[in-house]
Amino acid sequence: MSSSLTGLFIILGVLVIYSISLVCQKRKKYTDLFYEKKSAKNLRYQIANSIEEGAMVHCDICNLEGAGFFSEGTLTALHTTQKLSNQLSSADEPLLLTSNDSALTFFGKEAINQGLKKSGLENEFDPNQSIFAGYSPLSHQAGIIGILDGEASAFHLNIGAFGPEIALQDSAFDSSEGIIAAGDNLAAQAVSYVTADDVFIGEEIFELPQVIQEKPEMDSGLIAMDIIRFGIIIALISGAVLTFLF
Amino acid sequence: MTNKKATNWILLPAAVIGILILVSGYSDLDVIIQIRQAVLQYAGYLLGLILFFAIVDFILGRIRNLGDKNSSFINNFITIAVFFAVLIYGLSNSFENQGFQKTILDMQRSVESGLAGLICIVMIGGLYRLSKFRKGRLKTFFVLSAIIFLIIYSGIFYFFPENQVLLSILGFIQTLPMGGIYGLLLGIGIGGLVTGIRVLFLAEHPYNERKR
Repeated sequence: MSSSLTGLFIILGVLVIYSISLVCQKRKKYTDLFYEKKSAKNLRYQIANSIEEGAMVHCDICNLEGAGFFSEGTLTALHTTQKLSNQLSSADEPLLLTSNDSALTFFGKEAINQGLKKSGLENEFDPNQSIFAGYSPLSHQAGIIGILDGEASAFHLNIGAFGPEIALQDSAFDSSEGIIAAGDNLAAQAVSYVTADDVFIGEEIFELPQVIQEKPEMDSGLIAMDIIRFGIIIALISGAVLTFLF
Repeated sequence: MTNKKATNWILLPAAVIGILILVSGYSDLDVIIQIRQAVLQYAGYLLGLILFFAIVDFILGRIRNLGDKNSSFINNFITIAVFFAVLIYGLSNSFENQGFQKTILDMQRSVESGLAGLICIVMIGGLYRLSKFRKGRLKTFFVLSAIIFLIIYSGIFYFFPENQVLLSILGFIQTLPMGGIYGLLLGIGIGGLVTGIRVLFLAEHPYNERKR
């Protein structure tokens, strides 16, 4: 079988699982399949805490340097920004967004505005909530540290294609400020494990917009993702055992 | 037409184009490939235009902030000054000019090499903190694996006499990171696929969602 045909079958398989999830999403037995991660729970807790304490939330989006297009992680990041902006619309301190791409800064403003609009608070929108902070990876981190100088945030949520330079945030921000990393760069995931408080790895990055909401178990996409995830784990283990036996 | 209706109407051609691009990956038909090329070219032009607007918006924002007491005057002023200096320098010297590129790279490198050194120090401090304060089974494994790989790649084993058992154990340990990398890539692949399907088939889209 050609690789492109295998790809088509995988896409169709995911589509079928997703459709089943959409149909069954309100059945209790089906929603029980949802596997809640500790990092997701912590993130929801931190968002609630920031609203209660009136502390600012900082979100950073990184696109692939010089890619000329937006990665899937960036799309997820914009979606998360919109949800966060919606949740923090009634908070004392608005959401602050930084990014490493001029166009992304532009789209980030729109995402924040849409989030506020959903709460009926579009008048609260401030264009300075989305800031461009440096283009190259290291200058981007330096830019963020400069922008947030003297500002206390409840937590810093980093999403996208950032690299090992994420470690700089650990020394720049106060230890009371949480650092959450959700990156699709392999080296960054390892570094984040050492320096960040919570890490979203692999497919967990793509679950971010859904897990920050209440009742994530009601989301058909998350259950579909869990089924595919465990399906692949079972397939890998079976394959390894069969290779070993025969 | 209300704004919501207009948004919903726009989503339909967007989804059709998305599915067409997806199908074009599995088709050899000239028409489909030509449509794909045209759509990708148009997307490139559009992104270029947005980029131009974004830069104008960024600079206008900085100029606006000059009079704002809450934002740093020096920070905004330096940004504007550097932007116009680079713009004037760039217009008077072409981008292919070696001197222009060298000037930009020299400025960038001087700051970035210092930051790269700082990353190493932060990483060592982070590993120490992780092993001492943040206990947990997974974190312990992480620290242990960091120590093991530091020893393996330090080259200390070159001083020992060649041992087949030791070599096979080292070979096995060295294949483990590859497994981890494949696992992470698989995860990113699944996530990207499900996200793509969510957006493409309108199950969910960033700016207009169905209610729970």
